[in-house]
Amino acid sequence: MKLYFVLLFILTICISCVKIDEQDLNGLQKNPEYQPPLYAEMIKGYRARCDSLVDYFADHQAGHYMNVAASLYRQRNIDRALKSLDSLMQNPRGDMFWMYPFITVTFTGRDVLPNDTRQKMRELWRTYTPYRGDTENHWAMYYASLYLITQMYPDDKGDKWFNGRSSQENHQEARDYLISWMELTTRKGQGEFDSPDYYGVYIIPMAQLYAWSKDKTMKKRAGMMLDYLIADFSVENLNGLYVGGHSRTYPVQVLNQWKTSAAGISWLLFGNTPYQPRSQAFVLALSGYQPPEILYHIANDRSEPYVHKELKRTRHRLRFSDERNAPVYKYTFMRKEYAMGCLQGGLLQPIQQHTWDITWAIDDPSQGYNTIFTVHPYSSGHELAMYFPEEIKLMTQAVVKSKGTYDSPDKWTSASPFEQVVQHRNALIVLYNIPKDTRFPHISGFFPKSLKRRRVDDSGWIFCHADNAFIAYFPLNEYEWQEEENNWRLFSTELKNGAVVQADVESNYNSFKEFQDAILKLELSTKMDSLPSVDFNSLDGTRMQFTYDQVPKINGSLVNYNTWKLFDGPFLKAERNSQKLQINYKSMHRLLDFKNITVKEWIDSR
Amino acid sequence: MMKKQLFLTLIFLFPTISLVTAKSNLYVSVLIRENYIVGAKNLPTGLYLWQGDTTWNHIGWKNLPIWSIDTASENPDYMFVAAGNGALRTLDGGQSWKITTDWRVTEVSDVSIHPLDHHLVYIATSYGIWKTTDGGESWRESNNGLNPTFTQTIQCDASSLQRVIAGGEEGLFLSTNQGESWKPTGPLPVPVKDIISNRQTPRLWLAGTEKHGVLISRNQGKTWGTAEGDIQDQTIYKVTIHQNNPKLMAAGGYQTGVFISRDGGQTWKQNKKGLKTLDIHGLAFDPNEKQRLWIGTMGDGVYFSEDFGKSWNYAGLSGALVSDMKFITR
Repeated sequence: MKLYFVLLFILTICISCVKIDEQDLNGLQKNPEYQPPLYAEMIKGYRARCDSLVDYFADHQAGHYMNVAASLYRQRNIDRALKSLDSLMQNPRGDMFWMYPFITVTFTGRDVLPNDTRQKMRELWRTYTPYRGDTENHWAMYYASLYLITQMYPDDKGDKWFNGRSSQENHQEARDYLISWMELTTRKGQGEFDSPDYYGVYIIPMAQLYAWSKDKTMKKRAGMMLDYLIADFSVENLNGLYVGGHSRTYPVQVLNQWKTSAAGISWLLFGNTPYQPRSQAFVLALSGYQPPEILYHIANDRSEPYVHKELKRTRHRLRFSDERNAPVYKYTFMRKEYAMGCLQGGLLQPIQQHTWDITWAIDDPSQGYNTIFTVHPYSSGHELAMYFPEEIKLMTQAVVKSKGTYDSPDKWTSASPFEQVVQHRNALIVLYNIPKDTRFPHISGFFPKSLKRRRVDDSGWIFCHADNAFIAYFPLNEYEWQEEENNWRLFSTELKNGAVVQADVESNYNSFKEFQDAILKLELSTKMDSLPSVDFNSLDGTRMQFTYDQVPKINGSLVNYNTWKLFDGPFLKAERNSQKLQINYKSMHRLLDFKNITVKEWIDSR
Repeated sequence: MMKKQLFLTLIFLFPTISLVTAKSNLYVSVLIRENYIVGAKNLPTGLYLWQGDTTWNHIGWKNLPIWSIDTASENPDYMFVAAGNGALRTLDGGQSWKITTDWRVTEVSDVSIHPLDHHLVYIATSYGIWKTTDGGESWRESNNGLNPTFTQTIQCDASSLQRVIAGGEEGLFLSTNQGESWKPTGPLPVPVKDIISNRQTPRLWLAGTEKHGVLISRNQGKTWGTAEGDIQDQTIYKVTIHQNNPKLMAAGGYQTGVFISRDGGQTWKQNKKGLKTLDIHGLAFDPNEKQRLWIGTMGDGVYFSEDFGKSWNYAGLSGALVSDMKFITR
C-alpha cells in the first residue's frame, strides 16, 4: 500500500514537471533577476521542509501536544509520546489553544492510539470546558476543532459534550460559523488582518479542516481559504517578513518581525527566510496542503517594484460607532530592497495596532531592527470599550494585566484616534493632532541603531542609510533624541506633529550625499498653526497634499476611498463583496470563487 | 364563598410562607482577572455557591466569564447565566449546563427569566437583545427600535408578561409587547448599567448609570427621576431593592463603595469605611437575615454588612472580581 502511494507521488511530481516546464516558458525566464526553480523543485523543497519540521517535533520531546502528534504521525517514540499525552491530559488547559493541538493529536493518532487512551481523550470533551474566547482567531480555532471532533463522534447526545449540545448541534453550529467567517472575510476582509503574530492561528484551523474534514466541500473551502490567506501574505512578504500595517503585533515582534508565526510559515512554504520550528507551521506541514506554484512566485519575485492595496475591516465594534466593521484602507509599496506600508490611521484595532512603517531587507532577517516608524501611544477606556464589553472605567486596568505595555507611554504598538496617514508609492505623510488632555501627549519614532548612518541636516531632514535603502524623514515639529538599548527614540511632545517620509534605493545614487541633495531639492511646505498640513513633491514628481481631518490629494485629485478594492495590485485582484479573488503572476492565473466553491487556473496563451 | 376566601388567602400567603420556610442560597459569579489571558490558564472563574463563613463551592464551568445569574421563581433548579460564550442553562441546579445559544450570540451581559412564565427569557448582549419563548430551545433577535444595540442590562416586569425594560449605551428602552419593539424611556440618553424592580411593589424600579448615578421610577418605568445628593454623578454598576422592604435600597459602582437608602431612594448615604476596594459590581440583600447586605467587589471578593454599611465582614473569594450576586430560594 505504501509503495502504491510512493509511486503515485512520484507520478504526480513527474506530471507536474511536464506541466510546469510548459508554464515556465511563459514569461518566467524573461526576468533575469528572478530565477525560480522548476515547480517540481519547489515542491520537493517544500516537502523536505515539511519533513524536517515533523522530524523536529517528533524528536524534540518538549512534552507538548505537538510533539505527541509528530511522534504518532511518524510512528516513532510512541511509548514516550503516550506517556506525555497521559500527563498532558491530567490538566487540560488553554481553551481553544488546547483544542487545536488536541485535535492534531486526535487525528494524527486515530489509527495508532490505544483504545483506552482514545476513551480518555473522548472523555475530556465532556469534562473539560474550553471557552470560546473573544477574538476572531479564537473562534476560528474553536469552531474548526468542534467541527472535526463532532465529525468523529457524530451521534453523541448533549450529555457527552462539555457544552451540553449534541454532536449534531455542535457540528452544524461550527459549520455555520466557519462558512460565515469565510464569507465575511472574502467580502469585507479579515478584522484581525495581516497580523504576523496571529497569522498562524488562522492557518492552523484551515489546515486542520483541509486535512481531516470528511465533507469534501468543507475540505475544499478550507483549501481555498489557505490559498487566500497565503496569497494575502505573499504580496507583503519581504524575505519571510510580513510587512506593512498590521492589526495586531507585539512589542518585541514589531521591532523584530521575524520572531513571528508568519515568518515560520513563510520558511515552510517558500524557504525564503531562516528556519524556525513553529507549531503553526507544523500543523500545515502535516495537512497535505501544497501551495500553488503561483503563490511561490508572488512571495519571492521582487524584481519589479509594485503598489498593493487592500481593504480590511475593524474588529466588531460594540459601542461608540455607527459601523460594526469600519473599513481599513491598507497601502503597501514593495520592492526587493524595502517595503513601505500603512493603514489610514485611527482606532482600527484595539491595543496592538501597527499603523505604518518602512522595513528594509537585511542579509539575515532574523536579526530584526530593520524598521522605522512612529506611534502615538494612545491609551483609553474609550478605545477598549469600543471593542470589548467590559466596564469602561475598569477596562484599562484589566487589559494591562495581560497586555502589559498597553498603558505605557513608551509603547511601540498603538492605535490612535489622533493619527492620520497617506502614502503614495515610496513617500508617506503621517499627521498627528493630539488634544492637550490626552493621557500620553507625545509621539515616538523608532530609529534602530543598526542603521548604517543617521544624519540630521540643518534643513530638518533626517537622512538614514539602511542597508540597500536610503530613507529621508522630515519631522514636522521639534523633538529630542532619546537613546535606548537598540534604537534611538525620536521623542516629541508637540501636539501638532507628524512626518514626511521618502525612501529610495541606494543603487539609484552614486552616494548617500547625492540622495540627500535630491531630497533637499524637493518642494515641501508645512503648516502647524491650526491643523497640521503638508504639501510635498516627492522624488518621482508626485504632489502630495494632506491636511489633518481632510481627504488627502495626490497630484491634485482627492484619494477616493470609496472605490478601494478588497485586493488591488499586480498580483491580487478582488472587488468588495465579490467573494472572488483572482491571483495573477505574469501569464499564470488562479481564481478562487467562494460563492461557487470553485478554483480555476489558467495560463495566458502567447 | 368561604372556599374562595380561603383559596385567595393561601395564594396571598404562599410567597410569605415560602420565604419563612425556604432557605435562600447565595450565588455569585466571579471573574478572576489577575493575569487572566484567554487560553493561558484554568482560573476558577464562574459560579460560586456560599457555604458559610469564607467558604465557597465552585459550580459548573471553570474559566468562564459570567456576568449575570437568574432563576425561575417557582423552580430554583432552572437557572440561566449570561456569559461570554452565550446563555447557559441548567435544569438541575447547576449539575449540568447547556449553551443554549449558538455562534450568533456572544458577550451576554444580562439575563432575565420572566417570573410569570419561565419559558420567556431575555438576554442583553453587546449586539442587542435576544429572546426565547421556549426556555432556551431557540432564540431570536429582538432589536426593533433599539439603537444603538449595545445592551448591558434587561429586566422583566414581574407584574406583566408584556413588559420588559432594557438599558444600554444610550439609556433605557421599554417594550410593552414582549420585546417585539422598543421605545426609549428615562430622562437621559446615558449608558445604563443595571436595572432592578421590586416584586412586592412592581411600580418601583431602579437603574444604575454611567456618571449619572441612580434613576428611579415609581410608575413601572413610564417616567424616571434622578436620585439626588452625592450619588447623582457617580457611575453605578449595580442597584438592589430589599424584596420585603422596598424602602431599603443599595447602589454601588466605580470607586463608590456602597450607597444605601433607607427611605425609598429619597436620600442616599455613602459607605466606604472598612472596604479595601471601592469598586462594587455585586449587591444583594439577604432574605435570610433581615438587615444583611452583601457586596461583591471588583478585586477583593465578597463582604457583608449587618449595620447598613457602618462595618463590613469579609466573606471570602480573595482577589475575585465579582460581577453579580443573587439569592436563590430553595
